Amino acid sequence: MAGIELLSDQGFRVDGRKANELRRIQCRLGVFTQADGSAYIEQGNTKILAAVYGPHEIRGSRSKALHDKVLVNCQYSMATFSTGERKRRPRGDRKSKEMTMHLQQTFDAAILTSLYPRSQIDIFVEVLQSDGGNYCASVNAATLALIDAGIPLKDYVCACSASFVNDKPIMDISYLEESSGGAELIVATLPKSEQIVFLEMNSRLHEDNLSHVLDMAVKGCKDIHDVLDQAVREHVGEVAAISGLE
Amino acid sequence: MVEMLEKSNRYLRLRNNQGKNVCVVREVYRREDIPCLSEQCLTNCKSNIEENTGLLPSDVTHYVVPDPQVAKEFLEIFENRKIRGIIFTQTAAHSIQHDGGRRLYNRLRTMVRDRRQGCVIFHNEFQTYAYSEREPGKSLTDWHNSLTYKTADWYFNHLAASVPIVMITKNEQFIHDFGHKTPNLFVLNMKDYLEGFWKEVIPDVTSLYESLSEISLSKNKDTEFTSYLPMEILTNGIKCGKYIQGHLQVNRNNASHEAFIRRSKIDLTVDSGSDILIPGMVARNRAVHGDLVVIEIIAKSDWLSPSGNIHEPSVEIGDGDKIKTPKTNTSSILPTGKVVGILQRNWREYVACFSQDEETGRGDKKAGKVLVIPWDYRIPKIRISTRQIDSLQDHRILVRIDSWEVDSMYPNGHFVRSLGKIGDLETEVASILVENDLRVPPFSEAQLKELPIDTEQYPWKMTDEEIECRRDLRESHLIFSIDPKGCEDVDDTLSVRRLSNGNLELGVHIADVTYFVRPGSLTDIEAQNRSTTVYLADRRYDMLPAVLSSNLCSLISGVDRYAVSVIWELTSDYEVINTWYGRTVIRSQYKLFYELAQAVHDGIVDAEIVRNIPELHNLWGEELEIRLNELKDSIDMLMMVARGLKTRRVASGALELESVEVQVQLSETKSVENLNPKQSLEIHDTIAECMIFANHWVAKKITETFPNKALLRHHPLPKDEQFGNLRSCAASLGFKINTNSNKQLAESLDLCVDDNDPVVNKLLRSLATQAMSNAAYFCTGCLARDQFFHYGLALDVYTHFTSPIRRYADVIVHRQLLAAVGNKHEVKSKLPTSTHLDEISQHINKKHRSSQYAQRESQELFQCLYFRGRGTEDENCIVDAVIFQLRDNGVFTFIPRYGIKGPVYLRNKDGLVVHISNEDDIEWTGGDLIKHDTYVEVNSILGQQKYHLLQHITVKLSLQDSWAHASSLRLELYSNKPQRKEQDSMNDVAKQQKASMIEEVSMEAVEKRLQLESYDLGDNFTSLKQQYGQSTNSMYTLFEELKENS
Repeated sequence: MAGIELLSDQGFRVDGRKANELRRIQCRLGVFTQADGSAYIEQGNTKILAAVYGPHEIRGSRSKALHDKVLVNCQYSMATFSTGERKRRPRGDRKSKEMTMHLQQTFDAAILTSLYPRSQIDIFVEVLQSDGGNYCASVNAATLALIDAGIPLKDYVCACSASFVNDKPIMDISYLEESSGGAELIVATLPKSEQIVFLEMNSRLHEDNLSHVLDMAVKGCKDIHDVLDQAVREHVGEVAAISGLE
Repeated sequence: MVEMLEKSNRYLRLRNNQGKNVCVVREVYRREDIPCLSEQCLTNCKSNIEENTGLLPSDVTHYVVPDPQVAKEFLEIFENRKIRGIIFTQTAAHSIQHDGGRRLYNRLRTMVRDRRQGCVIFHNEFQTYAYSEREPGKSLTDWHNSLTYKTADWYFNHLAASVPIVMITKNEQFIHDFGHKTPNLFVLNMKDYLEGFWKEVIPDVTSLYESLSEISLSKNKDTEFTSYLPMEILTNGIKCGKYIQGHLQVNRNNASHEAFIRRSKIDLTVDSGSDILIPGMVARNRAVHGDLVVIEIIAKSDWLSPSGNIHEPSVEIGDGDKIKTPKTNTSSILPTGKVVGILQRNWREYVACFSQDEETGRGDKKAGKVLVIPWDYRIPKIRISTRQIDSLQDHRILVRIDSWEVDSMYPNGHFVRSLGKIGDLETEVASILVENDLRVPPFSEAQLKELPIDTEQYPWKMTDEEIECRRDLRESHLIFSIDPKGCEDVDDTLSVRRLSNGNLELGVHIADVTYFVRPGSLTDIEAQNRSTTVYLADRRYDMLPAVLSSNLCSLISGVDRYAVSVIWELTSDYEVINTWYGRTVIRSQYKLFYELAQAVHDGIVDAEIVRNIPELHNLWGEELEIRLNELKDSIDMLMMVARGLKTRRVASGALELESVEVQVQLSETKSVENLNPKQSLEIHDTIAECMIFANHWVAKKITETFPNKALLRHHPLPKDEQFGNLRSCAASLGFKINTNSNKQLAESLDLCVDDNDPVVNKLLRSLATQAMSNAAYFCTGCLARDQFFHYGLALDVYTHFTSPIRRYADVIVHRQLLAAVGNKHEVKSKLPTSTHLDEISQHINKKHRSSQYAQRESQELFQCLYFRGRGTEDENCIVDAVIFQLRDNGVFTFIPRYGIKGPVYLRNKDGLVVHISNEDDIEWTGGDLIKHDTYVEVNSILGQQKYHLLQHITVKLSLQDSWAHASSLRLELYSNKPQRKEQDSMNDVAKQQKASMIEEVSMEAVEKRLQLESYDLGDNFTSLKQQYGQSTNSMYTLFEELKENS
């Protein structure tokens, strides 16, 4: 199977998408009743659950409290059955820890933190099935859960990955494309203002091509935003109908 | 957009790197708008794909859809250019990649990318209506069949039944079930398909089909070969240094016993000096010359030394399975190894023929299995199955190797096609071309359609807009060309003038080929494929169609032409102040030839000049006087400038390496066939120097602008050990060769002059040339900056810019230069990227090398034909020779008169040594031979005789006819004293002799053809031959004539 062709001459990727197409996104808000906010998202075969608690008082040691803003506490974990081979440790390994940190940084930047000094918001992310783009899907799921919880945000936070194959940028890369050893650019943005809250890059990419790849990733974020926004509006409509507000 | 996609999952079982089976789920998105890639399409669904892919042509009678199995086994048949309109399903492409290996898959890819082939890969697995899931319990081939049928069906409906579709499968049941379901949608097996559609067009196709279909059925008995180690063991072994990888190089002269692995510099460690010897066929373990193999070094006590004997090359491979233990001469022992695995086969098509003696030839007549002997000595015999032995008995045929089973003595192959009768000139030339992997079909109609037309009826004109955006030099500059006499494709012209401020202005104007050849056009693809014009001894195969190469791009005198110019402003001491590059319009005023230009410079009488220059014929009186003086001044000034430039180059730490430069000059000054008698005139140097200057400055410019993707040419440092033979030769006359730097080498070569023997210096220089590495094209992004230099010319950067008609590299350099100076027509993004350019440069290098080999082989062929039929007493056959290398059983000699090198045996096969009595009688007696540093000593009962390096002897030439291989010349000792008759003009005679030899032989061949009734060529044979040779009357003009008539 040497040298699998990631982008064919006619511009199709291994899974039949074109270079600028996202995987299919399906999402639901309010999947749990006990959490303050929750969401489930599927991006292709990557499936993620997110739950948000808070804002509430600081749990555990008081010393962690910040006097001028809310403490965002994240936990990222991958189910043992989420990958092809069974995982040994669902959380606490290096990769998960790093991912936790990244999520924390991302949402620190997007939540209006100064509104809740000396309190805490917990975001729990669980990867049920992993097929590339775990970070992106986690951010998108967490955004939906935060919206479900009613926590004020600057904007939706949407994340999307992009890579560069055969001199062309490709959007929203799958596990197969990730593991082929090419460059991987992950970006999380506030789509309306196009501000970048998080950017990560793996492997080497020539700087001349960076802007093309970045544009592709940002465009992906906007596309994701449209999908998420529609889902939120539908959900709000449903909830409003149930509670008789309409 | 998202809504129309349909998502589903595919479940695969893969093996991970620990060897465990893992279940993998991959998603697949299906859509309805997969382009059908047919020119016939009504819905215009191809609009959303890129230009670069091939399309299914609309002018074929049907489209054919092979199923995966057929596509894999008979890909070679589909590669035939005449079969067009092939739809490969994505499923077939995957199965070829998975089961057929990388090489087969690459062949498929090049086929699809080649627009001439008119075949496409259809992404059937992404198309909603052309795909069906594999149901549980359904076998893989059944599923493949139904997928292929669905694709065929889809195409049929999509094109609204306007094109009949043929699906090919091996499954007879399937053919029965579906064959008659829909009219005009056929399901056939390969055999019926070929017989029904292609038998008339491609007569060979059925035999190719048969030999292909039989290879899948064959298996054989036991041999001593061991099976290869698994891949992961090999790769790990290479990483940890246990195994070594390299390309297998078989010794042409001792093919069954000696092969070497040449190591790359990277894995040269301290203890592992040089090449690795692979002795015998068993250790070679089914590897064929050129394969990338993995070897294991055997225990040091078993190491062997290569034999120092000269071998007759006709030793039969594979028959001697036991190695004769060579006399181990402890000093020259080499690391010895055996092949344990093969990373990549480099099998190609081989020229071969059936054995002459019946018994070995047809071992197993029942099965139709025959051994054929390849033309190349280094390739083992190949077993093929064919039923046409009788009709092909005396033909040269093309054979491909398919496999080499562990239990088989010989590789299995199949018959591809016949080249013609052995011994025919055309057959032998075709063999040379195939063996060097050169393909030179006539240019296709589609290619010629792209080109501008220039006939008497519709003369080609320049457009005003184009002239507008070019610098117009037609009136302002005196431009002229200097080429060999009778040259058709003039691609460089020169101009020189003194500016008003006292500075000099030198201009080099090169034909603007890129204006006519757009990147990506069919002409461009073809030119890149060919990479160079191939010059054989009696003909040439152009890189570009004749309308460009000898007409629109040829800068002949008196006509307006587009050009790309480099113009320098030089101070009086030849310092460059200003350089201008860009597109121009020029009109060359004179088309001169070397001898004339030199004569003008040397000051011959005016009348003589006028007589030789047609451009001046209609001028009289004062005007003539002015024009003449103008021309004389220009030539004088040009030579002066060139002299100045050369001294500067030599002075600035540079050197002059005559012999190398001669070679470079040959290509720079584009002597059409370098067989023309070539006296070394100063004007040759002048032109070469100007071209080197232009190439150098262009290289500078493009390296500056595109530091990562400029195409340059470099000439690496020679390896010191290569100079060994040169040193010992020089030492035998008491000269010392210093090889520390190119300058010192050149200087020490200059000193090696024997006043009594002019051949010595020439021979030493040619030995020095042999020691050099080859110059090569490269992409700047792929090599360290300090590797850019050109050793022979002593320049820091160098490229080829001055002959775009003959070399593809120059075409690329033109594009890069024009992009670098911001010409609006050359968009930067169209230039090849660094990796792509690297591939191109390797391709060009390969083609250049093979065209050189082909040229040399064709000259050898003509030499042989010349000596055929000449009796041994013919005075042309007894010539003077110089010894330049010593071996254990003979010496290598150089024959100045014909420029031939070859071995002379002092000990024959029976172990007898030669003795020459005082009356010049040759006697073979018992005795022995001792090789010393500078001489070989022959001790026999009749006395002792010595043969020194650089000693002159007389040899007798005779033709050694060969059935299976190229005929060669045999050199026999005639006398150990020099034969000195035509000493004085030896060097010139050599070249002249060659040219006249070739003329004579081709005349003979033509005559012979005319006499043969079977060929029935009649009177127009010469014109036909010219067309085939593409020299004057090309297919293009033929097509133009047809067009006019219709």
